[in-house]
Amino acid sequence: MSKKAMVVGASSGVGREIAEILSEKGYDLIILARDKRSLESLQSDLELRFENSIAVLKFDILENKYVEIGEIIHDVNHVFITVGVSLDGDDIGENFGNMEMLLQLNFFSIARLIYSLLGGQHSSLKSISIISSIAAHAPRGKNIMYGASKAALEYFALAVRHAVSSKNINVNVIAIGYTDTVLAYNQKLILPKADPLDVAKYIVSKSRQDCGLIFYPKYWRVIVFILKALPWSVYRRLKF
Amino acid sequence: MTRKRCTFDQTIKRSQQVERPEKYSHLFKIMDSEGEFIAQGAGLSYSPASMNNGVAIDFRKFDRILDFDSKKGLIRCEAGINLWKLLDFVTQKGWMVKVLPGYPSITVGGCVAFNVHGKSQYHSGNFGESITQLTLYHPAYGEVECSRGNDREVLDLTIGGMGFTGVILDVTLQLEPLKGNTIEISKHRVDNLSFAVELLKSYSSVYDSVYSWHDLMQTGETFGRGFIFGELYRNADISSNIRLGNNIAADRNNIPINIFNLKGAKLINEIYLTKELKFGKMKKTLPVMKGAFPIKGQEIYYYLYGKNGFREYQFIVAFDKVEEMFLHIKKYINKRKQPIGLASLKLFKGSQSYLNFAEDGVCLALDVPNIDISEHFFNFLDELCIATGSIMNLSKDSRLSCGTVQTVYREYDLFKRDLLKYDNQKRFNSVLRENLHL
Repeated sequence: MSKKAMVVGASSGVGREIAEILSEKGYDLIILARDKRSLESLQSDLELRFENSIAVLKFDILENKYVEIGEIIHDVNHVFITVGVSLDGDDIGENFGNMEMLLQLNFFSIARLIYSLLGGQHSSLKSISIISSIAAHAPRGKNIMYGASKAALEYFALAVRHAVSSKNINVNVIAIGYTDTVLAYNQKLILPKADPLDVAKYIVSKSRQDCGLIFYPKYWRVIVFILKALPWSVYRRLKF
Repeated sequence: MTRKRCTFDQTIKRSQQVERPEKYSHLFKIMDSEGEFIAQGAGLSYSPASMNNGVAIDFRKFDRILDFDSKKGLIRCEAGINLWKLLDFVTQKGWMVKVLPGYPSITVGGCVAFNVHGKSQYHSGNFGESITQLTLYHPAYGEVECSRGNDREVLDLTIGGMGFTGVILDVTLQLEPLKGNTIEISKHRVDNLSFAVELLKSYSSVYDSVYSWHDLMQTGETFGRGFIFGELYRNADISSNIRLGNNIAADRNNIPINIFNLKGAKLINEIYLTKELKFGKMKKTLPVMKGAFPIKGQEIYYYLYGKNGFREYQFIVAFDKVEEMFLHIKKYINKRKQPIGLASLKLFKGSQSYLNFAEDGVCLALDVPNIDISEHFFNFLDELCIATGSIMNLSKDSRLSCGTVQTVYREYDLFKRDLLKYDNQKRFNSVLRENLHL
């Protein structure tokens, strides 16, 4: 029986790497993203190199197409959701449009998508892996809505994990640190950026286990622990 | 944000704004803005080809194979694909890329932009000859598909056009059947540089590729002693499980001091020659993926030039001028005590068009440390090229001036005219273009 996976946000970054890894492992794929041309290029590349079946779906997570998704994923085993966006100037202000967009894209749309996935009779579904960010664990004034929406997403994912625990579906949420994707490419950061390929390998390997919340690179768990242990008088002075 | 960039020879270092799009929508959004652009592949050019005052677009995420015709041996791929990925795919299908430069992280876009050559230029020509079609993007024209039968002028301007006609989105290549899963490399001793040319000529009909290595730190009759290498494709029972590993970068951290001073260069050449004679096999067989990229695994060589880097000069001299040229070079090196880290010969065939590095003759490549006397040596080589009607490789020398290039390349003015006719706004610009006044 063929193995099948769905990757949401497969046109770039960690999502694309996940699609490549799964394709090399022999999975048939459904790849989704907004940029159809980039998806079709990836489809050609993976089909030619690994000779498996790749279906492309132009998909804007902000648009309401969840019923359609539910129909095509009936035989999918693993789902990877890698979408997310951060914006410059995500601090205290009155740009409510950006606020809503960040909340919609990073939390609400993903939550709806997951409900849509779980709402059908998908007996073949074994795992859902959702990318989050260490921003959810280290609140800072420079990305308020991004961090808040990722924190909400993590809470939601872990609550869903509890809700489906009797169905043997692994729900993992992976808080990733600085990663060398387009989001971080032109940022000066205090710690090294992880290779998206390494992040993808880790996420795929963990999809076979019921992990709940995990961090990658792993040292971020220690950093987060230290940050949370800092007294406010120290934390408020941090510039990061 | 700007990044520190340097040429592969490390003689030019500067800050550069770089974008690295991963999706077409992002790429087109970047290029909708004002200002000048230049595409960047592996960033391994010896010349400042992907440096400018605008934005360099790192194309390496556009590295997908778009189409493959296994019967005709045609492959269409995005321009950011590196030669390793491309070769890994086509060799498994029984095909081979006709022209391969020496390093696996070089991108197809880079090969097009400098119309590069490989070890078998005499047999296979330059990279551009295997291109059947390519797709360009220029903000003023949108996407342009050009081939031998469609927009031929744009194709000709783009092959060897140093990225000035736009960003290359994808390239279609005519492959050749793979003759064997291994490359058998034979080594032949040669006593001096002059004999090497005759040997290269005679071996060129025996081998698929011939090239040489020479010790120019000798005086007298042994000046240029060394080896001729001949390569043949063979089928052999050999493991082909080769991994790419880490690649060298232009902004590498060389050792603090230059090892290739006069004594060091003499010693290293002597050690290499002795090692190859006493311990090296006269014949060895390598998997295609390893044999195709001889520099891979030998990168330490570049680190030995120290923090000031090195310089390379590569020229093609006509067969009837070889003796005269080599004699002048020998006299200069012996008299001026010029250290030479590496010298290598290849045979070339072709004819000049625009600024492409192709001509009938012998190609000599020289690596020297980036020290004061090397600048003088390269100026001397410029004069020698002008005197003998030789052409130099624009992608190898970060120092070349417009005057020299204009003198030796007879189609310089034609190239400049056609380029400005295509785009007089110079939307795709680089320091190299500024240096050459194009």
